[in-house]
Amino acid sequence: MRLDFFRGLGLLFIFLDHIPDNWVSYLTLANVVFCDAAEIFVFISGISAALVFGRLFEREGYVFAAAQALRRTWTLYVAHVFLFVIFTAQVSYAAQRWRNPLFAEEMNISGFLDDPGVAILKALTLQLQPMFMGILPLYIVLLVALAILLPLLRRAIDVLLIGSAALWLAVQVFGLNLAAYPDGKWFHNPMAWQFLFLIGAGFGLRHHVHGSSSRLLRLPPPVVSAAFLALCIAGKQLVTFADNLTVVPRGFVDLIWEMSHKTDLGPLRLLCFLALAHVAVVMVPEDAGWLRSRWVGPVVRCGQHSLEIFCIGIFLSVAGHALLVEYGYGVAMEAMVSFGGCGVLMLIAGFLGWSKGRERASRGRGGPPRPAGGEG
Amino acid sequence: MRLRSLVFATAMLLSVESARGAAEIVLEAEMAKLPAQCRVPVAFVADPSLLRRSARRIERDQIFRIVVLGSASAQGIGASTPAKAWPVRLEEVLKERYPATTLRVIVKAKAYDTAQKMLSRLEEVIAERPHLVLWETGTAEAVRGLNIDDFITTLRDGIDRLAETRTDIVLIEPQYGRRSALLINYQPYLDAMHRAEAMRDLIVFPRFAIMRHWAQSDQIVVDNLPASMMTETADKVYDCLARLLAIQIMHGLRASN
Repeated sequence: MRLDFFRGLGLLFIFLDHIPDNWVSYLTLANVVFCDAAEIFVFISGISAALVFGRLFEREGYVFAAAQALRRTWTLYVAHVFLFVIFTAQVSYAAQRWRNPLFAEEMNISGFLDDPGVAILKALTLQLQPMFMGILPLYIVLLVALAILLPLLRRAIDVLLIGSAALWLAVQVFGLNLAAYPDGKWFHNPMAWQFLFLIGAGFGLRHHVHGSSSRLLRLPPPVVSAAFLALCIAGKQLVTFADNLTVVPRGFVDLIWEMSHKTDLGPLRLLCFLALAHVAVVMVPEDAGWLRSRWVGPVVRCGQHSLEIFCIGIFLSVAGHALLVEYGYGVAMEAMVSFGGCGVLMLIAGFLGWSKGRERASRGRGGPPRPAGGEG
Repeated sequence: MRLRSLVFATAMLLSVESARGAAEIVLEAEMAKLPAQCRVPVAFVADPSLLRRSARRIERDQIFRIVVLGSASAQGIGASTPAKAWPVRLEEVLKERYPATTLRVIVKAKAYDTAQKMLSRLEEVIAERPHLVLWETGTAEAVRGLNIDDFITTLRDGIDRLAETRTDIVLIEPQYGRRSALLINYQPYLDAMHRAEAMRDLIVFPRFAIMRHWAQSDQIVVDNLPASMMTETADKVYDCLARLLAIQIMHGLRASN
């Protein structure tokens, strides 16, 4: 319940952050502290993946658990290809109708379709990650790795965590990353982000799966986390407004930016997020009454159907942006598109919840048996 | 003793304030002279970063050499004649303001160039011994979605190389159009340029924000134009950009005196 609430909130933030120049998006996490919804999503995915596949492993053995994880990966892969098709359709349609010599260089946007064979191939190999399409490829790689490493996760989580930390550190020092097309690296570097995912998995196991508790994952007193979080917030505001303050040494601002690198999950992002997560967990107990209230239900349901809501959210943010372009920006218009979009997402999540509930109920009454899908 | 130093500090502060006030009055007067379609909030062209070298050379030797390192728009693509390109217009506007100064704007522009490719042409720019370099960049990266870290590194290398030769720097953001902003994710590249601004002593000319302001206030709309309007609009855009850029440059020069 609590997981789903925060994941739902993260998904709504992802939707809002992807509509640029929109005042509502200034209210999201990305503008408050050095981390954003991507961290929420990856961390909670780690927790729930460990929960779901850890339990399956416990009950049904490794082969079945790994197979279920791979099935989930396949679903994610199909979703990635689906988003790519939508993106391509949108760009090629718009670029075709676009004639303006002032934007000669910009019209080159369809350039990635100059060689569609290569572009499609690179999208299928996860190397082409156009606008906002970086997080699913990351999740796919992480889940495949999880399927392979499940036994270690169950029996020697600490070994895994040490290895994972070492890889993350290597990324920070040597800048390792996977290659992406056309020219560059993955936007969310899996070799760095795996660390957060595994920390999430470690916490997931600790609370809900027997006999695999990590001795390395220890929490400081909540006061320490809260104080650190306050520092993170202050630091973020300082850097954001550093332009206007001559007292802040340039080298310091430089260093902070360096440490809060998104692609490689810089140490500042990681620590600030963990502090934030700790504070959130302390402030919102698992059985908090308001998590069950009618007002929060829609957010929780968004979190329960995270994959669908993520994909539709990406689609809606593009559509919302298009609406703003055609009909003009403005406080009211931006609010309408933002809150309207959130409303649509909640409605869809509600519908999905209802339809799955009915499906389960009818199966219970002797309807056709359907294979259970692991919700990762 | 403490009281005296307090009074002294206050007096210093007040004099700085009044000097700043004077600069702002001049700035506002400049803005008021702009054609209505070009207007933007004063803050867009009021970066107080210094243009030390340029200011010194203008004052001492009455000479001001500007080199534009850029891409298609610096070549004036889409304009009715090459004479309407923004660097040419900039030279005209600045010559009016500094009639006694030998002033040249040299253009080193190539369409579709990434910052990386421009960096390889940087020595060519330095060979012109510019006092001020206007570096227009970010478009090719955003269009092709190139890696943001590579872009930041390239920017930093270029800025550091120019700083070695003590050249003043103005970075120029990509253009804004509603359609292009819908298809192209500019934000990370804009952020990278402003990060460079926060880290080094330079001015970022917010062309993106300026053109967005024009679009939002219906001053100059570049989207959904009939073909017959396109050339005329490009001329208008370049003219206004040159005027605003001139105002920003003059502001930096005044701050340095």
